[in-house]
Amino acid sequence: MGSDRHCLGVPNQCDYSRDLIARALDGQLTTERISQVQVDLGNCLPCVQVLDVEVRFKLAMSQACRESAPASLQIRITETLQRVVLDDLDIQDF
Amino acid sequence: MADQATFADQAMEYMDQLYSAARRMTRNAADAEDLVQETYLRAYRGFGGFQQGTNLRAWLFRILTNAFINSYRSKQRKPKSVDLANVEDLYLHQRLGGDTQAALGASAEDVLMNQITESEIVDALESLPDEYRITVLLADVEGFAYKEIAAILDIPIGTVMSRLHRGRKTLQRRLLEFGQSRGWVDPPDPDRAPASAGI
Repeated sequence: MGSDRHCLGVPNQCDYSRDLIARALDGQLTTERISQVQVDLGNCLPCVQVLDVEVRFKLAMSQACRESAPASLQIRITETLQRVVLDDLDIQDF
Repeated sequence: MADQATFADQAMEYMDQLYSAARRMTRNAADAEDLVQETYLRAYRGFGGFQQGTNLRAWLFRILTNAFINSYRSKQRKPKSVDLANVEDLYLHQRLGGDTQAALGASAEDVLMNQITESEIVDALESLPDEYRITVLLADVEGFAYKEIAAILDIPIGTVMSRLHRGRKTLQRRLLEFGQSRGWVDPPDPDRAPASAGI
């Protein structure tokens, strides 16, 4: 299925693969649909290469952009929230 | 309705994720800390309206994003992002997809992804206009679904998909240009460009 919708060897010039690869990577497709996409891509090396680029790029982005909040920020926010809670209690008592 | 007394117990576990996103939004550690603190304060104040059992993480990210867009961004000295219409003109599908992807053949992509550092990826992401940067962050770093991103940003799902596509392609193109400037990847050969864009 789908050979008439494929890119015929021109990478990323294929609406079918580009949109479906993005949706599959973003968790937007059913398991059955993903299986069908894999079957279709298996017949098209340029689309498999596009998928490989997208997967590696997404992983690299996720790894590069993660960082922990400084301990000082956690303390600052905890203290701020405690102060706000106490202020609210004071207002209620008043 | 959620009980404010349980706010800290439920919300503090998301601080690392909120801070990571705030760092990429503000491009600055001190500003990111202020933005996260403002987010927690706003969330605490509004927690009575949060529906228990719904997605607290998405709710917190909506507050973070709104705080950045509505109040924080206006204070920044950096100019506001390129507006959507200009981006459409600058980064047409044909250029983003055709040239970049054609140049990113398997070997070129391998070279690029093996050589590029995390800080260079972060620099490329932070160079994107706000709307695209935030949408890519929510999808690729935080793993939100299109529907959740649409709710967080209050935009249609089609706009989410369009921003993701253009944002990712622009990022890949910038990384490719970086690789070319370092001599890791050959410049695109005009003879390899597709004869017809077809998109």
